[in-house]
Amino acid sequence: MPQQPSGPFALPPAEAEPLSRFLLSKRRYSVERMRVKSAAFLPEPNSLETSVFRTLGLEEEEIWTIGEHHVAQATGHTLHGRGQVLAQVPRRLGLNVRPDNQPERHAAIVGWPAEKDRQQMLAIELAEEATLFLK
Amino acid sequence: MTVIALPVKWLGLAPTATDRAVSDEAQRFRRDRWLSVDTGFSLSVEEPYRRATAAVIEAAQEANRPNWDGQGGLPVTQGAVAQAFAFLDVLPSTLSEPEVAVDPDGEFSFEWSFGPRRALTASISASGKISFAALIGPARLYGTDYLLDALPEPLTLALRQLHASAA
Repeated sequence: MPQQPSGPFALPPAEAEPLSRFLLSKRRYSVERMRVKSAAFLPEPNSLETSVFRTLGLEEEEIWTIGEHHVAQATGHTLHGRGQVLAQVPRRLGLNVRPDNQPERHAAIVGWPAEKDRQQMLAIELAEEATLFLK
Repeated sequence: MTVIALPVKWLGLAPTATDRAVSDEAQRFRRDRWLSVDTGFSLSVEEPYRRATAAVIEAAQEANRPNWDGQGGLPVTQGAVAQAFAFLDVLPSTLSEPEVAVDPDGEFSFEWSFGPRRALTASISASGKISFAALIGPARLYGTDYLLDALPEPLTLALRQLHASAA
């Protein structure tokens, strides 16, 4: 049972709030085309959630620090970059952004369908609207 | 037959015998076949294929353990690798090289991007199920099919449309 979110980022994000999906595999983005691949946004298979961080008001360095501490180091991986979309993008596609603020600023893109092809359709739309930032 | 009506450059889509053997020996043979520098194939035609094959091997090595992506990703299986090679086998040689990745569920994905809202991603499972989605301008296309001896027709048509728009 997930805990009730608390703290300043317990409320759902505003439409124009940026969300960062940290990239720990070089195969989840293309440097040549400077784009995030759709696979980067597909949900984790068991939870059907895509983990993101809310980066509103943060300097670039602070965003990377979150990625390093809470994502890369926590799992023993190398942080390569991040894909950023506004919260309105998944919502427009029928997905939702659920804040849990654990750790602080963490949220998840939820509401994914079970069918893989429908997940891919949504993920390719997210990737289309995402901006790639390289570390 | 549909194949007869296809332009010459798409004749590579014609049904071909597809090797889906999964034994160690079969996989060694397959790798040797495509990675050998002495295959005698045209470099200009086969080089993208060779790079894609190498990308599959590299991706498989990266995704060979649970949580390989730090985000709960499932590892690839030997069957998934074999199906990824089989998928590459039926791609037309004239098609641009796909970008290879591994999805969180352990399936290989092949992605093409031809510009804004012109992209296609296809994933293949260890059982040979192909799931795909494409953005073709304002149109969205997605579906599921099985890899037999040729690419599923909807996938073929979507790739042809995207490729033509990029030409």
